[in-house]
Amino acid sequence: MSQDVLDDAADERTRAFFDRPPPEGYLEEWTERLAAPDDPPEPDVRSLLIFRLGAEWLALPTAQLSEVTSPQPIHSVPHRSNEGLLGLVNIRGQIRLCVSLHHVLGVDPAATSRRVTPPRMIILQDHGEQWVFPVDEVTRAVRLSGSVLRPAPSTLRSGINHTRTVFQWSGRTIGELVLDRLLESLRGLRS
Amino acid sequence: MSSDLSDFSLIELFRLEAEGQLAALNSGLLALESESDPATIEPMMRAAHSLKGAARIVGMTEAERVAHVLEDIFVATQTGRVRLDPEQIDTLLKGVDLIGEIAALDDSGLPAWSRENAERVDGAIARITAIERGPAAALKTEDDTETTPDQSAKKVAGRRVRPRSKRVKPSDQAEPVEPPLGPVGIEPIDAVSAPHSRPPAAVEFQPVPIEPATGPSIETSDRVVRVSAENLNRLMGLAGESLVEARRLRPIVDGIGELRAGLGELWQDLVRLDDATQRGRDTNPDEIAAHAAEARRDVRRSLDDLAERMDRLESHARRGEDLAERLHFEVISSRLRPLTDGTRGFPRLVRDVARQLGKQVRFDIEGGATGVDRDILDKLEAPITHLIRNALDHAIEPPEERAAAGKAAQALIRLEARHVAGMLQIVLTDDGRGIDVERIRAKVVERGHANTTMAAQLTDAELLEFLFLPGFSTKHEVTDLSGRGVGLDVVQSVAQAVGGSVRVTTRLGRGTSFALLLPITLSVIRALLVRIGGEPYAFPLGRIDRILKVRREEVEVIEGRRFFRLDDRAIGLVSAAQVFDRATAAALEGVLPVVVVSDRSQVFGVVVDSVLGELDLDVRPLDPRLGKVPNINSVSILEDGWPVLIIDVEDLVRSVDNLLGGRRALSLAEAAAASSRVKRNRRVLVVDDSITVRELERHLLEARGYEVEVAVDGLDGWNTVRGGRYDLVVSDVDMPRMDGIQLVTQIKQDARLRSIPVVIVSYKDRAEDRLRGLEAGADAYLTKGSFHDETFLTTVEDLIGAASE
Repeated sequence: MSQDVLDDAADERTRAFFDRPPPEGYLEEWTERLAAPDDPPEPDVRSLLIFRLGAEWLALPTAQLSEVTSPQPIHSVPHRSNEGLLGLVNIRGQIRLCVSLHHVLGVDPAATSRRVTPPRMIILQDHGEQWVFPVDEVTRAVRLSGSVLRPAPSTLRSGINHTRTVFQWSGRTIGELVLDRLLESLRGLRS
Repeated sequence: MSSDLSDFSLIELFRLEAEGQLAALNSGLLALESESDPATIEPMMRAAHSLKGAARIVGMTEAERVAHVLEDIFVATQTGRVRLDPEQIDTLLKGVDLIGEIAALDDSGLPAWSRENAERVDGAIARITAIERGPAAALKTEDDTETTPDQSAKKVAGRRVRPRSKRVKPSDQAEPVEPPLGPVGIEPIDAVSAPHSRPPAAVEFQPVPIEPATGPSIETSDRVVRVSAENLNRLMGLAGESLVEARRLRPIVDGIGELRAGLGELWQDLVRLDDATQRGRDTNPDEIAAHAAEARRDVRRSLDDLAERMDRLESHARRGEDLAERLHFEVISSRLRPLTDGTRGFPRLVRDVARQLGKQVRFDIEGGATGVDRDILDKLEAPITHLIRNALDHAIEPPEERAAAGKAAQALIRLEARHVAGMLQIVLTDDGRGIDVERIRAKVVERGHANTTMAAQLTDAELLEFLFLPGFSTKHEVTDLSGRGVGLDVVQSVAQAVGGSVRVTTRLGRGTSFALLLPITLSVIRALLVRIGGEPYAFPLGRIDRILKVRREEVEVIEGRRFFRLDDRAIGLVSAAQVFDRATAAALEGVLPVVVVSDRSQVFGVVVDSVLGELDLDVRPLDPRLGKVPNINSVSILEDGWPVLIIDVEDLVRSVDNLLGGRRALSLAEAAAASSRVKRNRRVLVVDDSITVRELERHLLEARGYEVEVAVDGLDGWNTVRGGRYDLVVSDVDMPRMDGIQLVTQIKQDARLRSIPVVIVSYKDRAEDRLRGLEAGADAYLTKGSFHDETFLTTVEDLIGAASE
């Protein structure tokens, strides 16, 4: 801090500024507001990020997504021939494992629908475990009540699948991915 | 390494391990208090189990007993036989504290402490065992401690592990024990801690890895390192500066926007001027002149604007580069520790060994404050110890001989460290008898490394190089101290492993000097950037022999193998894309960019797509989820944001060798080295989750000359064993992620690996445990007691023979 700011006059002005009385009604208003009971939390509301893989629309809980970013170059890893393991990407200076959700979920990457926004990479983070995967499009995050969720079609409920429930949004049917199963499948990719 | 020294570091290692395990127990117990979840008990069981074994190895019997009963309780809790209430958890926590107290004891304070606290320990053990037997048993007397049967008596005898190595133990046992030689950054914990004190506070903040899948990442990211406060302050200052600097860019960007607007106006001017001229004759010349003047004015203004922006941008760039450089320097220096952190044991070593040999030696350290990367410092202890022993044993003459040669009776061994041209130079000099190069020359001929004519032409420097060949020792008689075939090659391989080199200079009768030239840090390397299969890869510059352009017509083929000639040597060529299992880029045509790499015995030319240049890379570890990726050892980021894989040259040479079916280009020196390569030291992989056990096994095996690598659990072991060539695997049974039984099973089911013998070393000594191990395919099943005598080493030798023939 330079000398002139610290001279006596300035010091006094500064003090006067910070020690000035609060405006009329200010304390009362805040007392009232802070004393008021919290709004009751809405029951079973979840926040989901909707994205597209090929022709499929899917959603993941936003709490487990640390970032959505523009696509970064992927460096393949030699001697790791698993198709689901795309390689390494640089996300804000950290090298992360990049995987193919298309491969894990069996989505045909070639199948596209009309593209509205550019492709993205999503960074999934759960208890220190991170996975990065490219998606074809990210629309937006939505908050919805659990009551709008419907069970996934029975064809999806046999065998290994990652979708238990679906919901309608903006005229589309969107599958909500089950995080734990997804993580399990991703962990299976590594070797 | 003397058994004394290894004991010192073992106790330090135990302390280090105890710190982590106790933290896991503490937080696990606290978590258990709020909810009884089997997932929290499992890690605690492992922690107690590991503590028990580690304590046994360092002879801390009391800690071992407490850990043992804790483990029993956790087992009982997991099977549901026992439910813990807060009061009982309290009892367990007190037990944990007790172990912490013991672990914090100074080495020499342990016997006294044991005497004084015998009752307290017995009491704690009785209270803990009482939990398992339920409330009724809680009233029983304290001496009823059946969970620790005869073990305690058995173990008091061997307070410390004394591997019955044939080496001479230099120290006089009656002497008071000096503060132990600590690993980097760990200081002996003050012994005067209050009874029932908790482990050091910092430990308590470490979360317990509860989910196995997140285990590895948490472990690595939570590793605690020591950084000086001053250093951290400067880092924070730089971080603040860079924030300010980054914000300065904004006005410049805005200014460029204005410049663009200015150019837009100029465009308008030109359009108007154009219109005016188009109209031809009926245009007023004044109008044209006016438009032109306006355009000129706008150009002038834009140019001025541009000049100003450029000035600002340039000064920003300059400050940014300066800042980045300082930041980089600061981060690097935060990794540096003074050399003395790793040399504390040397003065003692010199004194003890010299006394034993009846020699008078003074030991000086110069430049002890020289900063050394903590990773490098860890690796330096063994080779420097080796060089010092060599000097004491071979180089320094007995006092009479020195006197006869007109030298001072007291010899001098000097260790110097300094930074030279961006490298760390460590020089160990003695004023002993020096090395007789003519004897080396004779030996080179005698060993058949070269014929007499050729040997006569070798320069002194070339002759001294032969000292680094495995098994090439000039001392005829094998002594207890050195000259057992574990020679200077070990020193050289340590130096090379971190990208450095060793040079030896000597004057007969005057002394010898070994100079280790090492990188200052392992975290930044100078590298050659190449493109392979369209993607960037980097060769550490220190590991490259040459970079060449080989014309297509220079490539010759014999038996389908391509090679080219370089200085009269035929050097095998291999495509990098092929080695890395990448899609081959363009066919080999025109001029081939070739990177020549080698290890001690082989030279290969690796054809890359293109050579992009030289640059500094900050090295980061590969994601542990990938395991060991062949030919790659780390990863970094390029300026353009691309990840780049850093090539493990040693591994690459081995892979290329495999790919070419072992065909090599041989020259004289290579042939000599190759013949010694047959006698390469056998490699052992040690898999154990306890650092104490791991290091003990490593010490024992390395003392016998085996090359040892370690893995921290079964999965790591599995990845490692697949990635390298090993003659033997030594594994624990109880480990996180993959246990020893699974590991053995996997190895024995793998067609390529099944011939590798596996020795299981476990605490479990029941017949059914043994059977389980042997059924899985283990070739031997030992208990950890086998470290106390020769059983372990004898078994290893029975299975794979001595370290080298």
